[in-house]
Amino acid sequence: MTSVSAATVTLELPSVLRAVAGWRRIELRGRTIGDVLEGAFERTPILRHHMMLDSTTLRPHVLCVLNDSTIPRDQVHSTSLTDGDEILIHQAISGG
Amino acid sequence: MADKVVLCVGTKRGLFLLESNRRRQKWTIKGPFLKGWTVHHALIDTRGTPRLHVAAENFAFAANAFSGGLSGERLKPSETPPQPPDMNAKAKKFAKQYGLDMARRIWLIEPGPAKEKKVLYAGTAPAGLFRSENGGKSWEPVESINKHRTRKDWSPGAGGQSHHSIQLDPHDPSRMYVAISAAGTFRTDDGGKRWKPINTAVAKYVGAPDETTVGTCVHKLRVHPTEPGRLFQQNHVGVYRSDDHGDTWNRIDKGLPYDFGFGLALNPHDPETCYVIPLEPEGYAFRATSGALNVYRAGANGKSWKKLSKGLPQKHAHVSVLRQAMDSDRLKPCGIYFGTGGGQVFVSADEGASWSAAAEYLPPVYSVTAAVV
Repeated sequence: MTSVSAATVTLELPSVLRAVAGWRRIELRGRTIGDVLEGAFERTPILRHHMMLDSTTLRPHVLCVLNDSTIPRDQVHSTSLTDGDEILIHQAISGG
Repeated sequence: MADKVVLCVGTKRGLFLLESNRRRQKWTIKGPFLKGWTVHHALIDTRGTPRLHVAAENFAFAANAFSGGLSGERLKPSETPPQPPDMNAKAKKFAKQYGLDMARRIWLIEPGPAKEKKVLYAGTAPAGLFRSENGGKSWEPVESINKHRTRKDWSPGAGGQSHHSIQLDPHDPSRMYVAISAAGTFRTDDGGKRWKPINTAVAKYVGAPDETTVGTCVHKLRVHPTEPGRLFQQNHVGVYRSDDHGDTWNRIDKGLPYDFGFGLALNPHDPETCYVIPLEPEGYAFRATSGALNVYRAGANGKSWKKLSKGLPQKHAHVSVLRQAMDSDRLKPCGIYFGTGGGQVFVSADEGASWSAAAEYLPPVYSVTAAVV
């Protein structure tokens, strides 16, 4: 479902990025996850350096989770949001 | 009067600060700071109010330079970090072929001239030199070396194509030295406008083009703080000394068990001396000691070496010591310090005559620097 108006959502960073951003969790508005990330980058520009390869692609090993569901990397930018959504940024950790 | 010695210990998982008084017998450990970040280098800039500068990366997030007060808390990242330049196509192909480290990272941060307290330099991988004029808030590339005419012949080493050494000439503010693996050593005499490769008579690595003025694998370069023109380098192949600002080099490793090593430290009160930790070369082991961990001190002109083993493990110590993980302080007698891949930090308060462990169970140590504050 595509939102027609901007949703109010929360964005939470992993602990290692809190050292960079100086915050852990903020509330932002946007129609898509891409909008929300842009809002976060506007507030804390250095986050773009740490999270993005280019304007729409997350770095490898950076994981975006929306309401407990992992969003495929190539869909992160365009995924629609609704009020109350929670976006978590994680490091993808693999191994055994 | 400065009354505290602080070691900045960068590890695979965070930064630790080891503190002692001038006697340097008992050490307290603080940290980890920047928990979860790999700290490749950290130092205290003592030119004004002491400031901590840290080069760190995380496997998922990009490299950055952090700065802050000596508490280690509230380290602030750079707003415009160094952006390491690409390797050339030949170097990329070589790195891929041999599975060499291609990660973008900051290898070290060094303070600028004494009178320019806000100036800092940083070296990166792939090899780049960066300058900050605002205490690390933002960084600009030094293109005169980053786009040097010899860059086409710069090869990556096993640890990447790293710009790992930055040394200012203490007697001439317009002269500066840098060293890159695996390219070699360069000098500027005009404040960074032009850079001259200074690798004459230094052994080249296997496969380096015959005609190139680079092609040497310097592992660590240091300039002596009081003796004009005196340089030392620990190379992939040998230990070298220069008495003429690097125009010529003399190989001085005769008598060492191995000519291979990474760490290098100087005694600020004795320009004849350098300290190295010989390691078994690649292909034989894991670039580690052969079970006995020893520091060696050069005698006059490197004609003799003294093994310094008192207090160091002599059996089953299969650890490595990386190039940023060895340093000295400026006290008299000077302290010598190094960290290991096994998480130990060894300290000597008597110029290497005896050693003790100031920390034993840290994550693998990537860097050790000493400051008197």
